Amino acid sequence: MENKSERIIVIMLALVMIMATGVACAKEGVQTGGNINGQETTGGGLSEGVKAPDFTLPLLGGGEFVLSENKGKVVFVNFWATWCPPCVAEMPAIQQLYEKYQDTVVFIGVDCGEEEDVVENFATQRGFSYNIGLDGDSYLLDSLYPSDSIPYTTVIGPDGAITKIFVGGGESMFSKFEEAIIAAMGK
Amino acid sequence: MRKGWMKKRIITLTLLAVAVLFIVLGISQGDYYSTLQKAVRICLECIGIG
Amino acid sequence: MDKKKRLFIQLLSCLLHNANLPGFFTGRIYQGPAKGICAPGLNCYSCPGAVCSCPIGALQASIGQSGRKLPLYIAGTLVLFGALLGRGICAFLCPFGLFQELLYKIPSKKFKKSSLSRKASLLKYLVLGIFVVYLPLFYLAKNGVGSPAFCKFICPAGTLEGGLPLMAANSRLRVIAGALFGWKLFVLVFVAIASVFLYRAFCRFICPLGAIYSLFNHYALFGVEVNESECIGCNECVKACKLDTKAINDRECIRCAECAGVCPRGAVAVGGTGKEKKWRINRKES
Repeated sequence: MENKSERIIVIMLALVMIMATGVACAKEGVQTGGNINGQETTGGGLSEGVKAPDFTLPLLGGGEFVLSENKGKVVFVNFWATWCPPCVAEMPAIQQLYEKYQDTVVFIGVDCGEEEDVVENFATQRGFSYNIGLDGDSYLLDSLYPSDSIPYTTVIGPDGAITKIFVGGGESMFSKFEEAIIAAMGK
Repeated sequence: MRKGWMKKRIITLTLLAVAVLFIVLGISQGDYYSTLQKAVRICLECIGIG
Repeated sequence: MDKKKRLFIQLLSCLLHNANLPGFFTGRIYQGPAKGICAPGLNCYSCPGAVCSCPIGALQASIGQSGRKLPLYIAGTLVLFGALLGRGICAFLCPFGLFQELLYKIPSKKFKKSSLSRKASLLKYLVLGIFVVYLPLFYLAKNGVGSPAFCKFICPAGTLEGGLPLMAANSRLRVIAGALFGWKLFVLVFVAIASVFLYRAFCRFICPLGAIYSLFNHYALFGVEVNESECIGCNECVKACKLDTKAINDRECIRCAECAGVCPRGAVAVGGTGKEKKWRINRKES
């Protein structure tokens, strides 16, 4: 009798597993991104050289940010979250770059998947003054600028094409970011 | 012996009740959502890459 | 419980933890709603196949988050798993446990447990205290955001299931991998080699999740019990146990039921713990 109930449990487990696999596979199909251009990036389809997808985001402190309104300038887009240590570690570098290049380069830090008050508390505590965009639904990282990981940074040239993508980051990113900005200014 | 078993059972049931309470309280303070957010976006340094 | 049956359940569980099979080919992680739930075993949430969250990863993330909230949801989940199954999760459900058991099957000299290994089994509580609790809090105080120190510096399950498959599928990641990944790879290789010679070396000495579940072993619904009236005190059960148990059903017991298989009187049963008193091989407290 014990054998029978064990068998039933095992069969049920197997059924649940098959269902879970089915659901997971179906979900994967719904995911956007993937290898759109046949290019490999971390969970994404964007690569250097393609046109940066336009987006509109609310900004912390009010107002809106529309990417296409900044055509003609280099745009530095950094995707981050308050719980991500390397994201936080590279923000002072971005702040420094902002203070140095703000007349010629547009900076925006897109916070993903967090509520406004969480971001608000964080930004005011740290004194970051560059644009902070709010993407509470993670729409950009899910669909437009697909990436499974953060920090994720894209540098966009004055012509609207992506010049450099950074996957990952951390403390010592200042010189790498600056290099990418200068290179983009030349385009 | 019987008493020992009863005591143990009570502790087990209490633990289960506390567990359910914590889960419900946790969900109501938004923990499910924040667990989800951190699990669908990899922080590379957090898993030892980069 | 038949060894084959347990293996079958372990394999199923491994598959269930990693049901997102397409992820291994696309190099993308699963991003659906199930990721908000914690799986019982040690399975990295950044594994492309993982459909749930890792409880240890989620716990560190919760602890390292600034704000006054206590990690109730994660703690509640861990208490639920612990009170139901105790370390039975280790023997039946944990994918990384399965990985170590498979490695142990490789023929070699095997190092048996000893009083030294019993003492060493306390290390995992240190790992829990330092890497899962203290360091994230320390980093939180220092940087304003906590780093999941166990995931970052130690977890070989993360390297095996998350790091390696992601690297294999994403060339950009291979480029940025640095010294930290080199260290983690070393940890994985070390644990893997140790598992050939020492049964479940990681489970016994390092795993903080096992450490948490072990706290519930005495009260878990699923456990090992001895029929006192049948027991003749021969000690074969504890001798046969490959984990560092001193007594049946103590904190090191993962409910693999090998003890039940060797009892000459069939006095050992694995299942819902019943009315019997716990049996100790010596009368000293463990």
